[in-house]
Amino acid sequence: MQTRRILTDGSREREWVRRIVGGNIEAFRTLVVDYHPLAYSLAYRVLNDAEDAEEVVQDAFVKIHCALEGFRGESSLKTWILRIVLRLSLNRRRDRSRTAWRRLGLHRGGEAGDEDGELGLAAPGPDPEGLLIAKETRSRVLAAVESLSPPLREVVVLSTLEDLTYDEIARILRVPVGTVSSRLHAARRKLVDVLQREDLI
Amino acid sequence: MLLPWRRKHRDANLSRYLDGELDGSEMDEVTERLVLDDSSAERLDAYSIVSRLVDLATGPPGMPDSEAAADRVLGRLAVAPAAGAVLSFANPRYGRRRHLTPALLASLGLLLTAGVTIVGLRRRGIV
Repeated sequence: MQTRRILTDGSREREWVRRIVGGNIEAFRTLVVDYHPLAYSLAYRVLNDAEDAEEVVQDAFVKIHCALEGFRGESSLKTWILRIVLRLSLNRRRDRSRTAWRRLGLHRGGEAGDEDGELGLAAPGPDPEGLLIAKETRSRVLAAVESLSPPLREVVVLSTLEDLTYDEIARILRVPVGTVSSRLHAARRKLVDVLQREDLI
Repeated sequence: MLLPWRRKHRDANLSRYLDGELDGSEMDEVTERLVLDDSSAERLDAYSIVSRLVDLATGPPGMPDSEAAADRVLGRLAVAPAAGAVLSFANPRYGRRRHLTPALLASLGLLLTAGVTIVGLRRRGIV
């Protein structure tokens, strides 16, 4: 899933925030349009539910609008926004009566491209990575991710977002960069072990 | 033969290499190792496959329209978007909205009551 690359620098961000705080609607709208794909992608990856993800993202941007006045620029706008989205997503996940992962298979029957039990995540063709991933495989991979402890799972989910560096992940989670590196590595080792046992790799 | 902690460190560098987080001598070391050591190359392949599988499995099947999402957010903030408009939907002073809190209302009520009481008592010559 390609998310728009948002190229910003500190001065442009500060000017952007200043305009929004000053009441410029279009500036805030632009912020939402620019960051919505990344925010939605993160929320979906945590919640595995389109409706919940969209609600959380809406809540997040409303919260962001109210909190922008307090944005100090100590981190980038991207990491600040993603931190809010992640927190709200985790809160939603915790509050649900059934976890997102357990709803797999019960909820995803109507997804587009699912007629043959295959989830077409990319059209087969010249792209060597245009793989079709079977529904069952997806379930097992998600179950493997679910088996990780929350700190490892958070890092793994964030690492799947495009263009997030270890430094950015560290800022979102408010942990040292070394912790991100070690957690991600630990998560991958565990996932490799689990998926090898399941003959998926 | 590598000590366990050293092996773990080298393995961790494979993960960082996959994510483009290595540079300089560490990058050179891993690049060389991948050429010379089949097990390292296999390990890197496994991490790469796992990363890709997790990305495919957790990623959303589609992306909602961001423009429509922005309209919904603005709708929730009770602002009508208009091209080029600069609407002040908050206090011009940096968006801070001031309103009477219940505590403030209660305090004003008490002051009013106290004032009326004092005036009444003075009229009767009590105060």
